[in-house]
Amino acid sequence: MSMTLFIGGWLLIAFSSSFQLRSSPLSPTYGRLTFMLAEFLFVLTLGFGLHDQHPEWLGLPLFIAPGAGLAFALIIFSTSGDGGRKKISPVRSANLTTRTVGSYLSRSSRRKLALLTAGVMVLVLLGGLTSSPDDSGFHRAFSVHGAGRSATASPYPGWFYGVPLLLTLPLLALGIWVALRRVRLLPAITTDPASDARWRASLAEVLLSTVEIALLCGTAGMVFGFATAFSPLASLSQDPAPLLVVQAVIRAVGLALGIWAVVLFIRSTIRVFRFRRVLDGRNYSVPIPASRER
Amino acid sequence: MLITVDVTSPIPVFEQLREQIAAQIMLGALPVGERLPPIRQLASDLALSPGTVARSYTALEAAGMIVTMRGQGTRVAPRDRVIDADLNATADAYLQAGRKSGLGLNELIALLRARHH
Repeated sequence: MSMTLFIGGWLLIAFSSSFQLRSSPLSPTYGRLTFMLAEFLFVLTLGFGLHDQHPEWLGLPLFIAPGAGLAFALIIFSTSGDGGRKKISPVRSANLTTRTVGSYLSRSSRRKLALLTAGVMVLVLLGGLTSSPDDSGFHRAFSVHGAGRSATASPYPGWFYGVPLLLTLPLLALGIWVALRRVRLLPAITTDPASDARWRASLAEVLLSTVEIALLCGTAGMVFGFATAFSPLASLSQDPAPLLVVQAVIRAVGLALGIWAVVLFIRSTIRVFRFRRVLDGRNYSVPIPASRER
Repeated sequence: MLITVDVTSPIPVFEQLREQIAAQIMLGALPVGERLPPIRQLASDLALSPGTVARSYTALEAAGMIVTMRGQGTRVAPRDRVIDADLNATADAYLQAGRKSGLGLNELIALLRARHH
């Protein structure tokens, strides 16, 4: 897994640097976004690497890496310069339309993000409140007591995993805020405000979908972990078969959410390269400059 | 609404900006209360330093044409001077006569500026 992510990251870095050689007005944005996605993959690689090298950390890096990695990548996106912007015409035009961050966010995107954030919080609370401490005293186990018998299973998504996951949420919020602010301040690539707004909205959608990916990764981990609870429940039950079926279903849902996050990531990367279509071809018309008018 | 600057022009860029925004305000194309883009946005779009745009805004503010309020951005200030139809028609006629004589806009502005001084 680490190697796949690492190779993916390097491929994106290679793409990113190739954009700096091109003169299209969209190249800096392509470069910036691919670099950001590569950074995200590298932090995920680091998460997997730390998990492999430090099993005593009990998988915690895997829970933190998506959120923290994306927050870091979004901050990189908002602070990196336009390496590809080489030739600037001496005659420049700009529209006096004021751009706001909110105008690039569709209602459905906001709703989706709010729902996912609320979902993560609910799962963390649910996991935390139903968890119990393991042998080391970390809240990452699920215990069942009944009729003089008790059973415990671990790892369970209790406070041990939930609290660090919750802590990545404000980081993600900060990351997306600075990134959207950067989208607002990126130089216009066309003087047509409608096309410019379409391009910025599309860019904002890609950024928001990366946040969805990070939240989905956390949700997938939590859901997958909830399946653990069914092992002790089944061991104490007279008829464990239905419980084991539910456990398999929950694991499948967790896995499906993880796969959906991967699909979303690939979709976001592809969408980056569709900006040209958003602009209805190369409509970068600049009016005849006053000083050159004869 | 577009504004265009030419960094190779002998007229300072901040002055070009100031003139064009002032003209849009005087002509009513930018109505009272209309929000102007933030300094950093305009500077980014025109590939200028924020200081240059800030200088234009400061000059417009000093002339009472715009007001900057904390949290509300920069807006076109209420004004008592308006350009009436006669002055507009005279400006159109001047531009037309200039074009007939083969003069560009900058030359026509320079001519006006020379007369004004």
